[in-house]
Amino acid sequence: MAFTIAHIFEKSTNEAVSFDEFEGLMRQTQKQAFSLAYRLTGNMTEAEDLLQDAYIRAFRFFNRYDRSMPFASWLFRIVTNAHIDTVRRKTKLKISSLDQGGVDGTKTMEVEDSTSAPDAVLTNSSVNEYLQRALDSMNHEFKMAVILADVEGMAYEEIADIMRTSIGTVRSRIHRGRKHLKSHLLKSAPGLYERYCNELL
Amino acid sequence: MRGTAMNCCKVSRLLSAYLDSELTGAEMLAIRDHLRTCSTCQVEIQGLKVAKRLSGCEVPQPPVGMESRLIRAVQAAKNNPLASTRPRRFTANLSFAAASMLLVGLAAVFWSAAKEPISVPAQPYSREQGPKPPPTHTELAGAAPESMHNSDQEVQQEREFVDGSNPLSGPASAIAYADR
Repeated sequence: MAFTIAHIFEKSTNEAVSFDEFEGLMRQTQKQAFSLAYRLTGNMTEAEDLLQDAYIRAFRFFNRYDRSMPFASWLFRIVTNAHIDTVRRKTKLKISSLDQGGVDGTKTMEVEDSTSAPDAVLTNSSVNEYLQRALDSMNHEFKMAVILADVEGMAYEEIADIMRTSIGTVRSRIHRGRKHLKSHLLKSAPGLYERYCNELL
Repeated sequence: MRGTAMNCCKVSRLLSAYLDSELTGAEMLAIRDHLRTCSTCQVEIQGLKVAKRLSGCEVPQPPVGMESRLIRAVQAAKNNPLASTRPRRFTANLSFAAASMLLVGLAAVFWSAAKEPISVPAQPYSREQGPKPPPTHTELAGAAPESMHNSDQEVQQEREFVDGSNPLSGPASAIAYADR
């Protein structure tokens, strides 16, 4: 059967009754989903936008949700896919005009110096900042695996299901992600690394 | 000695899974035994513990009113199933409208140019000839099935995106693109 606009409209109308169920699931998962979205995007506004995008997609295809698996796992797969989609769009939109240079034809751009950031004052916000910077410098797949394991506290099997890969691959991604995080911190915030080492002793 | 003894190389690869208790009982015991005697692996696991602790550090609370805003957005999508899933922003809407108008204009120009056969005028230009009449509604109607087809494709693509089953919109290709 051809998938037409009329078909999707009819389906949505038939499933209007499931809105209450969906709303209940939204209320249950929104906080947990926000943690994931926040760590993926690194900012509150973008995290909320990402969640809005993901919940609308989830609602539209709610009839395809397999109730034998946790709703959060299904939703997280949509959140991660939506995030990848957003990153792809942003990459496409990174356009800078070379015509708007200075009088002598040169152009200056502000580039963040991640090595010169002072780590003397280790407030919660600065810890968050270092962590986010380290996560953002990481391979996308490693970052996703580390966030799902450490922020969401998910088991490797669930992560493998969300990322559609094997448990062995998840194990390897988490390990390599954490190693990257450790070396990034040692380089950019040795004080913070030391503090955490001492706390763990 | 319990289980099989492990060398540093093998232990090193399993240390994160060991921290997460994601190994078999025998592997957990073998690594624990190895860590008692190996200072190199002790240093390595300490670094991984720091990374795990840091990456799991508390995330800020969601913004006030986020839950109700999300529910309202889903309700709006329910009432308008064909609307975009992207968060609406004034500037984005404005630029979208401008881009759409430009595209429609360009499409009309190219379409009318393509319909016109390229021919050398038999007679030199004269004022009496007048401009070519614009395309009729019947001629323009030829584009309708094409736009309908594109819309169907977008809906299909979005279905596949949610499923992750479309290799062109699924995580694999997108990740590769994002990591370039």
